[in-house]
Amino acid sequence: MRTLRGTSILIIAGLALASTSEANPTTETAAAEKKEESAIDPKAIGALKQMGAYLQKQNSFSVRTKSQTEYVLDNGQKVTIAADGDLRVQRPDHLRADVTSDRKARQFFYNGKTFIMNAPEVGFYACVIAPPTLRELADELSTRYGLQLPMVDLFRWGSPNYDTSDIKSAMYVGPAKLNGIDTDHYAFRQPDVDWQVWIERGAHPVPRKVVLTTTDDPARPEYAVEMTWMLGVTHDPAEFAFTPPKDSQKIALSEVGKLPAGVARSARRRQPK
Amino acid sequence: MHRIHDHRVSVLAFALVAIVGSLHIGDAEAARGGGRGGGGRGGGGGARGGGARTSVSRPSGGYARTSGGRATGGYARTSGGAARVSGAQTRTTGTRNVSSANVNRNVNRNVNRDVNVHGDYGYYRGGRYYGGAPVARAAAVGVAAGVTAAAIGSVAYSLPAGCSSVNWSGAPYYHCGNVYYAPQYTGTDVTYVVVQNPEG
Repeated sequence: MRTLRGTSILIIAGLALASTSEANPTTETAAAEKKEESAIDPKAIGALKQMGAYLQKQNSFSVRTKSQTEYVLDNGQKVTIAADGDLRVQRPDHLRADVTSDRKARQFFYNGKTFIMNAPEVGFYACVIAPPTLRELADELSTRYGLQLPMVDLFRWGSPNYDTSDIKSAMYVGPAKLNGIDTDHYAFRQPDVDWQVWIERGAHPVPRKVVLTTTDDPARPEYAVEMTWMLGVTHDPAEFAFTPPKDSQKIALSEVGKLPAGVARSARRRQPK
Repeated sequence: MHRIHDHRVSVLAFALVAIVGSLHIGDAEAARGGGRGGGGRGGGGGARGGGARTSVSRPSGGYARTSGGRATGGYARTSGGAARVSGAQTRTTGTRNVSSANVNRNVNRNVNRDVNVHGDYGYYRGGRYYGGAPVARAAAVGVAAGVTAAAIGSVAYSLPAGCSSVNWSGAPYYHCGNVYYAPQYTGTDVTYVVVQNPEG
């Protein structure tokens, strides 16, 4: 009250502010956004960034994964498909991944020049020209071929292009003992997905477990993966090399939005002679 | 590495091709359109659901969401998937009981790529059937009004029973009735695109 006394200028200014606020239809939205912002615990974002930075520093490592993915049937019923993965990474430009799910097996080979996907049980493989780094490979596979690299977040977290601005809520859940390992459990919300990560405590802040809940599906299917890390390993170059197994056949990897290769091929063949 | 049977047709009747009554689940990222709501969902089987997302990051350039180029024509893509996480929301259909009597059941032009993707199991190979018991209901996916012929460029997610395996100029094809399919990858799924008779 003391400050208001005789200070007409301030009062007028205050009224002006009030009327401006009332006239502004976005006030409520802005307030909601502010509230949303306050839902972000900077320490949780900090932990995520620290994990990302640590991951980016790992030049040669292996990760074994065990995952479960829920699928939603027409009637809303969920079924769960499990998969085991074995990733071998040599930054910046070598990857070998073997992923075997309940439904299928796939192998991925990347050597900085070509990317190969092989289906060992079916006998089909595809080979495409690849960009020079893993991160670019992940993006190109996504955008051009509609294919997601196994555990692709591991290549994007901590990279210059990884943007935490998608995250609308970030919280620290608490300490968690995971298979005997001390971790910190964080939970995040971003458009269409709520997710959690368990980051190992101590000198090796790697993700030990990740759970995603897809929130734009009313059935809210979940994906959960646990990871076992081997850091600083030395890979045999042969692990990244692919030799087509006997009797396997090369097929096309279809490009998003392009005529299937098989059609183009047969169409070409039918050009006037 | 390849068997090259130039100008020679090797017929392995019933080999590799029959997928009978198992649940088709796949995880082609392309199948997601601009996200789960983005594609014209359910064009074929009416499957509304999908799998859980498996990634929280997205490509730096956003997704290339071009529309229409795919000859299946079924999945309208929205543009600007940038607002989406690059989830692996895979699509599930119910069972597709593929009738050997009706080749065209697989070749529905209206089949949305958001549905009808599949795993590898539940197939014949080398005379042995790999696959479990039929799961869930028998959805008549792919049977739509006006399906009278296999349109060139249509993408099927499984082959009908009774196809022949054909090698032509070193490339694999399947000959099913009067329709030729070429296997390809759509994301990590093996799919089959209808092509003209490769033998010319």
